[in-house]
Amino acid sequence: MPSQKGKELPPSSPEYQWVASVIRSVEQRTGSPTRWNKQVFEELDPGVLGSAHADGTMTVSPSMVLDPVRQAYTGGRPLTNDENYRLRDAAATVTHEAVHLSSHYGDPTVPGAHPTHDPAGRALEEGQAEHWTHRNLDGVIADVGLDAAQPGVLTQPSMDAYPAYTSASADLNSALAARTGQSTDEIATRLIGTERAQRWNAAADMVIDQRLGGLMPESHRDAIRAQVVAPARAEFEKLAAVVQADKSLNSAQKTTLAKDAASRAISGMDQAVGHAEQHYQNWYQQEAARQAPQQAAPQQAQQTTQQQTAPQQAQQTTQQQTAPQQAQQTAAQQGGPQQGSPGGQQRPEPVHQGQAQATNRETPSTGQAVSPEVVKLRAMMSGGQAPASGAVHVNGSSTDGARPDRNGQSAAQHATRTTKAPTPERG
Amino acid sequence: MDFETVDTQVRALSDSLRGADQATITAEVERLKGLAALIPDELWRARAMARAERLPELITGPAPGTSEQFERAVQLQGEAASAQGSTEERIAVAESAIRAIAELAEQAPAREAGTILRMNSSLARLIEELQLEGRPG
Repeated sequence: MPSQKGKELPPSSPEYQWVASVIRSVEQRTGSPTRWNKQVFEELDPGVLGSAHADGTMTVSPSMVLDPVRQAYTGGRPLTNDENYRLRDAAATVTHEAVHLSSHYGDPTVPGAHPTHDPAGRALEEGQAEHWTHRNLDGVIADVGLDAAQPGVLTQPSMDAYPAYTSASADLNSALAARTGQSTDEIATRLIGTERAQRWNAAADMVIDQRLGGLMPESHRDAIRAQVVAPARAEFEKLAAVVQADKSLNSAQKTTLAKDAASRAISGMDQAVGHAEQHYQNWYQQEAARQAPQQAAPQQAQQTTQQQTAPQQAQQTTQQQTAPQQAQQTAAQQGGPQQGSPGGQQRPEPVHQGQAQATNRETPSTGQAVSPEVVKLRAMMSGGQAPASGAVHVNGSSTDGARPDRNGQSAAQHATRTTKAPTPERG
Repeated sequence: MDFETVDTQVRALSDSLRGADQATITAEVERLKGLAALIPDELWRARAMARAERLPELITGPAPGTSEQFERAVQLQGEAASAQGSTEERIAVAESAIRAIAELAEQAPAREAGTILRMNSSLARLIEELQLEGRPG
């Protein structure tokens, strides 16, 4: 049976201490508590270098991991280039497994959760762990002082063990970073720190919150998440069977195909969010048109003033977490429907698959600012008058690619607008 | 100048230079090494130098192996990870793949053997998960 536990390493042994220090370094750098149970065993299976077990145990190969590490610290001489390469491999093995120990399963049976052990979940887990390892191995090596013993370990190249999973995960992270203004390292940390049953939802939330913040009733989040997650999971589900296992392709070609898969994944997520965005915008505009005749004359004067500042307000409302307060102030100034007013307000109905997407003849322009009526309606929504809950089904038949956000800016422009230097758009 | 400053720039550039031409990347590596050279502590200076030189690999991701054995091992990992059938059948496929991959590692160039064997960790994990799923209760 693969991964067989041999002799347990005594906690007082240097070997145990070294493994423990790697696990602690990974825990600190990922920010995710380790589920390591403080036990380290020698790995008896010669075909396995190391393994993080479901019970929190770590096994490590005595010959391929512990021996090179022991030699590094006690050999009394600088290692050769090849020895340093094997040493880096040993560190990469334990680091990768330690990332799995900082990755928690979660409960896949709760509503809205996703399977943790299906092909999509496994590809994402292995890809994220390998990608994190490559980006942070130098830091872990420094944390445990391995380079102080053997400086050459830092100058060795790394090698990727999962051409399909790693590149797909890396490109997914890059695309999410471009859409959220975060770095890829921040995205990786966030995903690894999210339990596996909710990881896809966490990725979806990054895209949802960036474009639907203040627009989507929170009660619709689960339904929107499902639509956004579906295309991403569909692409990752195929990575093992279609890309990794393909006998006609070399690893470099598999890397390219995996990047294409990640591109389709993020494009599918963008499309799903875009459809939802258009649905909500249409609903708000229709509601504004329906309620417009009910406005009193004095309010029209105030509204005129409000319209002069609408573009600025519209831009501000599309930024994160500032919309509710401003929109509430707007509603209060206009003397319109107050927060907490009882029902009678129309609510967005779900858009079922197959139903025409827009009843409004106007096609939302990519450069169009949000109208003051929409601003006012958002204020009503944020005042507790949530639209009717229920599934919001999005028609995914559109073939267009990534849609601009509400300000008419592409994801890359949005990232530029926030904090980062321009990033070549990869998906 | 300190290591954190260099590392922060390396990480940011590894994002922003995706798709950049080699000349640009090379120029940034040299600039970062110039910064690293200013770090007074020898150990941290060496770490910063190595980190600066890691930039190209961080931008593209590390390359996979190229040997025949590496390519075959990748295929076997993918086949085992996506195998269908009963739990027992899937475990058998994964165990067979682990054996085959271990043999490939012995035949492969020395510098690819370790990475080839690392693939088996994912299959060992797969087997354990399947065994746990198959347990009653």
